[in-house]
Amino acid sequence: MSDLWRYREGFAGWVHETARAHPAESDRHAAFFRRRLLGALGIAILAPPYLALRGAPALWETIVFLLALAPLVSVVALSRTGDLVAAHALSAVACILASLAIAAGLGGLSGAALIWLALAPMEAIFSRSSTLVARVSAGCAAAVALILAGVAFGVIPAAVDGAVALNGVYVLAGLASAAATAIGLSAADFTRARSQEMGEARFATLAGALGDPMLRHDRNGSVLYVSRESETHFGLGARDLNGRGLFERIFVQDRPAFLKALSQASNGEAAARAEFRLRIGAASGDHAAYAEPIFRWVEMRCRRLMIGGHGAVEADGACVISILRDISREKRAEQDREAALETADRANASKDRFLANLSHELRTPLNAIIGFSEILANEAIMPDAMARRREYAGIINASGQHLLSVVNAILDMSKIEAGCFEIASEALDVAPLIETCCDMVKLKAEQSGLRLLRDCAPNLPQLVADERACKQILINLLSNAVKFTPGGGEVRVTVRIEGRSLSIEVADTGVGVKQTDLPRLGDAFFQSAATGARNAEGTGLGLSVVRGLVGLHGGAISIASVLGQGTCVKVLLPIEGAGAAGRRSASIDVIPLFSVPSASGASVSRVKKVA
Amino acid sequence: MSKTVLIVEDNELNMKLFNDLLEAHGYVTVQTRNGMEAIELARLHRPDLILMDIQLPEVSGLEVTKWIKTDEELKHIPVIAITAFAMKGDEEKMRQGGCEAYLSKPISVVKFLETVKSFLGGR
Repeated sequence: MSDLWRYREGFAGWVHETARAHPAESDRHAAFFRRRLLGALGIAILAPPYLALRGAPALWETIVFLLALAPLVSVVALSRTGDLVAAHALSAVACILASLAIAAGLGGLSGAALIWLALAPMEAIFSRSSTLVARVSAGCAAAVALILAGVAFGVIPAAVDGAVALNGVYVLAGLASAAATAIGLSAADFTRARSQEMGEARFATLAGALGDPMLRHDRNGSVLYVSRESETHFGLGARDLNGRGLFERIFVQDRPAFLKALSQASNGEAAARAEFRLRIGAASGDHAAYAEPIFRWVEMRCRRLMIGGHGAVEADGACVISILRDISREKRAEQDREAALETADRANASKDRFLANLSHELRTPLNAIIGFSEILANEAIMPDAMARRREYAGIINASGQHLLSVVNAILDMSKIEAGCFEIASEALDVAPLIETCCDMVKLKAEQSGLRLLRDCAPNLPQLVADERACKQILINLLSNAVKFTPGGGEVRVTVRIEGRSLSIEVADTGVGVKQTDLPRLGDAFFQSAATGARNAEGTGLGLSVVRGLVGLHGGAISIASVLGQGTCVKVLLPIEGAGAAGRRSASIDVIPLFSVPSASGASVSRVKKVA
Repeated sequence: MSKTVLIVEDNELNMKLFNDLLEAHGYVTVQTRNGMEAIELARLHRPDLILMDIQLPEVSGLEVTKWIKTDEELKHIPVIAITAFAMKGDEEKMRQGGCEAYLSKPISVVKFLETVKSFLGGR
C-alpha cells in the first residue's frame, strides 16, 4: 500500500488529458484514484470473512455490496471524462444509497446508517464544488426524512434485534471510511500549503538571486507581495508598498504610464515596461515635519502570471508579477549627456558665428587693400591724377592699420585665454590716459553725430597698471559705446575714486542689450542680436578682451542696460595695482535696473531723457 | 547714355573702391549706406544694376533684395550680391534670395568689372 502511495506516478497514466497540463489538478485526480482503489481493496479483503460468518447475504446486503463497486465505476468514469465533480457526485450518491440500504437492513435509527449518510457530504467536499456539497447535503436531508418516514410507517424497522454485532461491523466500516477520507483531506491540505510555501520560497529566492525587488499585483495593480530587496534598494518594505502604497508613491505625472503597463501586462501575454519616479522616504501620511520629497527613477517590467498558456490567478488574487530596477543613475547620466551636448552645441554655434564674423572683419579691410592696390598696379585702370593715386595709397594704409587692430584683438584674446598675457604695471596719470583714448574715438563719434563727454574728478591719484592694457580697455569700451549709439546720442566717460579703486564708467544712449543676453556679454565670440540683423562691426571680442584685462588687474566689471535706451559699463581697477588678486578673467556683474547710477549720475532709465 | 549703377554698401572705403572703379569705366553711380534708402533710390533713379552689400545696418541686403525681387517695378533690375561672409552655403543663400550674381570680398578688380559688364554690356 505504501508503494501505491509513493508511486503516485503509477496513476498518472489514468489521469484524463485535460487535467494532465495542470500539476495540482493532476494530483487531485491521482488522489481520487488512490482513495477509491484503497476502499475497493478494503472491501475485497473484508468481504470473504463477512460472507463466511453471515452466510447467504440478504437483499440489502447484496445492494450494499453492489454499491461498494461504485468507487471502481467512478474511477473508470473519471479516467474517461476527467470530470472530477461528477466522479465525486457518483461516490456521494453511492454513500447515500448505501446508508438507505443499511437503514432498511439494520434499523433506521441504528448508528451505522447515519454514519454512512454523513460520509456523503465529506465526499462532496473533495470536489471543491460548493454546488455539489449543497446538493449532496440536500440529498442527505431527503434520505434522513425518508428513513424517518419509513420508520414511522413501519416500512423500515426502528431497530433490528440481535443485529448489534452486525451494526458494529458497519459502524466500524463507516468510521474507517471516514477516517480515510479525513486523512486524505488533511494530506491534500498539507500538500497544497506546502506547494504554496514552496512557490513563495522559490519566488523569494529568485528575487534574491536577481537582486531587484519583485512584486506581485492583483488585477487592479494593488500590491500583494513585496520581496525583501525592495527594502535594500529603496528603503521601502511591504508596509510602504502593499495595497495602493506603491501607486501613491509614484510621481503623479508618471502614474498613467504605470497603470498602462500593468493593464497591458494583465491583458496580454507579453511583458510590459514602464518608467516612473518613485518617492522614497517617509509616507505622505506621516506626521513628521515636511521634507522635500525624494524621487528615484524606477524601471518596472511586469508580466501576467501564466499557467499552461493561460492567464492564471493565484489564491491571493495575484495575477501580475513585476520587477523594479533603480535607473536613477542612468537617467542622471542621460540628462548630463544631454546638457553637455547642448553646451557643446552652443559653443559650436558661437564658434561658427565667431568664424563668420572674423571672416567678415578680415575681408572688409582686405577688400579695400586688394582692390585699390590692384588699381594702382594695373596701368589700364590706374588713375592719371597723382592726388588720386596718393589717396588710394592712404586708403590701403588705413585699411592695413584697421586689419592690424583686428588681428591684435584676436591675439590679445587668445593670449588672455591661454593665460600668457604679461602685465607690466607702472604708475600712470589717469587724466591724460582718458584724454588720449577719447581722442582716438572722437573722429568716429563726430562722424556719427554723437556727443562725447568726459568727466574726470579733480586730483586723481596715479594708477598702478599696465598702460597698454588700460588704453585697450578704454578704447574697447568707448568704441563699443560709439558703435552702438545712433546719431544725436551721447557717450559719457566718468572717472571717480571708489574706496581703493578707480572707477571708470562709460555710459551711452545706444541700442542697449536684451536682458536675456546680459549674462552672456563678455563671453568670447558672443554678440547680442538685440537689434535683429547683425549690423555692427566688431569681432565680438571687445568686451571679452576688457574682461580678460580687467581680470588680470584684479578689477571688476558691472553692466546695466535697457534695450533701446542705453548701456552703462563700469570698470573698477585697484589703484595700487593687482598684487596677487590678478585673475585670468574678471566676472561681469549684471546690475539690476534702476539701482545703479549711470555715468551722468542719473539712473539708466533717465539716460533716455538726456538723449 | 551711360548706364546707372546703384551701390548699396556701408563701408566707406569699399564704397569708394566700387564707385571709383565704375566711374572710371564711364558708369554713373548712385550711392547709399542704407537698405531702406536703397529701395527709394531704385524707384527714383531706375538703375540698370544694383551692387548689394549683404551686411548692412538695420536691414540686411538679403532682405532688401527680396523686396526688390517682389516689386513689379524693380524686379527686372539685376542685383549683384557682394559679401564678406564667405562661408559655406552663403552663395546658395544669396541666390535663393534672388540675386543674379554673387561676389565675395575681397573682390578681384578684373572679375568685378567683368561681372558688371556682363550685365550692362560695354560702354
